[in-house]
Amino acid sequence: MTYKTSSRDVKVLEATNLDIFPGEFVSLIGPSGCGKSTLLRLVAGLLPPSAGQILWKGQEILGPDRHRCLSFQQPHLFPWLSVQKNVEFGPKNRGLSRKEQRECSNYYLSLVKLTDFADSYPHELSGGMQQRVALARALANEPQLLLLDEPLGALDALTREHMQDELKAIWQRTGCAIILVTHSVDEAVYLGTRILVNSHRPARIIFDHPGMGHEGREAKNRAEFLALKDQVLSYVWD
Amino acid sequence: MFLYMQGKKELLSFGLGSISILGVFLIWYLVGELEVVSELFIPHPRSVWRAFLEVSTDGYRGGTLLVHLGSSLGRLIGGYFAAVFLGVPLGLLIGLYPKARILLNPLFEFYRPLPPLAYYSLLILWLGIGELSKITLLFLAALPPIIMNARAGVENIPLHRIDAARTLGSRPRGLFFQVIFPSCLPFIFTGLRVGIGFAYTTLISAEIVAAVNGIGWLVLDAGRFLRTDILFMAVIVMGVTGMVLDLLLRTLEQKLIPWKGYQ
Ligand SMILES: Nc1ncnc2c1ncn2[C@@H]1O[C@H](COP(=O)(O)OP(=O)(O)O)[C@@H](O)[C@H]1O
Ligand SMILES: [Mg+2]
Repeated sequence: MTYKTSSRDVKVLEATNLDIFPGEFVSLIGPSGCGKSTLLRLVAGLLPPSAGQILWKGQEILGPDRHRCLSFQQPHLFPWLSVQKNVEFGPKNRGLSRKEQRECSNYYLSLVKLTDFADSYPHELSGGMQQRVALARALANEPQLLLLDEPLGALDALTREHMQDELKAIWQRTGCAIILVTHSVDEAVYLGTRILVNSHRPARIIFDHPGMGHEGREAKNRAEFLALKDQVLSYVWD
Repeated sequence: MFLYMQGKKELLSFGLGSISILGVFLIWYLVGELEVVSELFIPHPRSVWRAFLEVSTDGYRGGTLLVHLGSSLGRLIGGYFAAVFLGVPLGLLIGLYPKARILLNPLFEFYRPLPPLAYYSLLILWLGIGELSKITLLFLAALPPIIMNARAGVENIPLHRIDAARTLGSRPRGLFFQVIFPSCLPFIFTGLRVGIGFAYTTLISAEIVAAVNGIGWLVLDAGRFLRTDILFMAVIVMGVTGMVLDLLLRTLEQKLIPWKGYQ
């Protein structure tokens, strides 16, 4: 993938062959500016690739699709809509009836534990709560592939630990595939069933290894968890 | 809690603001009481109050205060609403379509800095001395800030917000009403407030140039006949009316877009 700007061309992604399988939880980690967000935008269909192809179930990706939903580092909620209406945005576009929309938003709001804030507006919520609304809003589309661009990056450490477990629980309950971009090696190893490490720009995948995504929180104390973290770190620093 | 604190803060600024008004009034009152300046230049507050009562009930040269104020506000509302209904869509159009911008910008850039009174004579020549030329003048005065702010609204939409809507299944057509228009509302409202200010200022000048009624005309006429008490009263009424208009728009803004300032 190459961005063409007025001053120069920026080659962001090296030709890459990568397959993502249903139900996988892929953690993607790499130096900043290497093209992780670009990759997610390409997969989401928000950006056409400058060369090559991205296939979704054998078909070339030509535009956004509700089955591939992207959630950003900033929550980017719609400030004029209540929390509930934000979550219903996707279901409404999908043509669900009022009643189905309400059921859908109620379910995903309870999943991110924000039922009590359904009638609040985004500017009345803390950053962590907004991020959870954004997650519920993406989930309400019931995507088969959820693309998460550093969704926990802006949260404080405590909230972050907590959100990791929620994310894992949500992934287990919904069974969707997830690509999670993160800057935290700990998070990548703990959440991912598969860990990918990107090189500097133009990005190539230099590490592709199973993670501990199926394990519970106690796995964080095991020796193999720490060993895997060290291994990933050595690649990140290369 | 937050709302409560904001209410308290507003009360405080209101209190402080009243002090300056009260101070000026007190000095004015003292000047009147001590008779240091002739009533011709600075009438006593009591005389101004009497003028207010007199013009309110008996009227001034063929119309009560309410009639004069009403005819002014009628012109204002006519020109202003026309400007809103044309200016907002036009500004959005210019913001959304580069071609519309290229087409309309030179014309707009020429007319925007012109002081409205510069082309007022022309309007009178074309449309006559009656209401139509005045309403057109106010329309043209309010239009530029409304267009410019609506356009700025489009240009300042956070791009990620559009992307978010697209991944959530917004079709290009739905995008306008679902995301683009609501995103522009804070800017549009700024335009509405500046626009009414421009129109109001122009209204007064317009009536000073050519009118037989209206609050602006009242000021001019009272001045001509050395009725300083009426002049003072009319200026105060004009100022208060302007403040009320802005307050109305601000209240509406807070009701419609309480999220202003949030990204
Ligand atoms: N729209 C764009 N036009 C030109 N260059 C871009 C654009 N978006 C991103 N880039 C460049 O592409 C590189 C990768 O960006 P990004 O995918 O955001 O990296 P990451 O998410 O890994 O930090 C950066 O060097 C950035 O400057
Ligand atoms: Mg990024």
